[in-house]
Amino acid sequence: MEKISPLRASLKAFEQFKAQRAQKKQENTGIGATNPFGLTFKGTVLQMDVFETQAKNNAKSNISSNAKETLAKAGKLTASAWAATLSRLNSIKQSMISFGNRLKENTVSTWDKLNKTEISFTGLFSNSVSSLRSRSVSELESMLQNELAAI
Amino acid sequence: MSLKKVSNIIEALGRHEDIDSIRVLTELGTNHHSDEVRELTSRALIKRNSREALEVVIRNKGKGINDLSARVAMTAINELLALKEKECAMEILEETLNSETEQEVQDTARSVKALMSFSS
Repeated sequence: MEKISPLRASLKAFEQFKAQRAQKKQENTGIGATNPFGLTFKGTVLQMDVFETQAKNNAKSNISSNAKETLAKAGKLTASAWAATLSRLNSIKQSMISFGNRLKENTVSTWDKLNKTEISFTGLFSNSVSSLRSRSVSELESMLQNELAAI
Repeated sequence: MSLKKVSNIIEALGRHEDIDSIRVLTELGTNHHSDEVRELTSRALIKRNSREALEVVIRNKGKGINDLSARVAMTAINELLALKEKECAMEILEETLNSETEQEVQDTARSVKALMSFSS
């Protein structure tokens, strides 16, 4: 039987411990590289966080249904606002058209009136003193008689 | 009543070259019942400043300075006083004083003559 010194025996034991530890460490790093969570489930390495609670699922479904309702409400509001805007635009368009028609009618009537109006200066200065002086005395006498008869 | 037209006709007759216009003014204007027409006629005749026209408003009773309306008489006197050449009017007034007309006409002529002599 080989005689082993206590020092050598302790060294050998240390090396064995060291080898085991290195092997274990290597195994650990391999698992950590593929599975960042470092979790296994029934012997299968989990690649992602697949654990979701039922409450969390319910909350998620509630949130999605609320969002749908909100979206539906917003859609209805948008539709009604668009309809109101369209009707308002229509009324504005109608008023603009009526205003334009009225303007056109007024312009046409003014133009007709101007065309029918005749300006003459014939009788404007007929009764002035200078024009009356050019007439004969007999003519002025008859005019004065007519005017005085009206007084 | 278109008094503006009447006024223009009377003024046109007063400035007319034809002497017959004085007859028209005497017959139609000075005998009219309206004070305004008589006033306008007296003014037109005095502005004419001719012997024939001035004799009508100075020598005749009830016309011109002898008008029964004080307004018409005063207007005629003012027109006589406003004349630039008063020789003809003064001459007729002097003749009126020396003529055998009514005393009332003579008194008026004397007063107007005195006023005109003071104003000139």
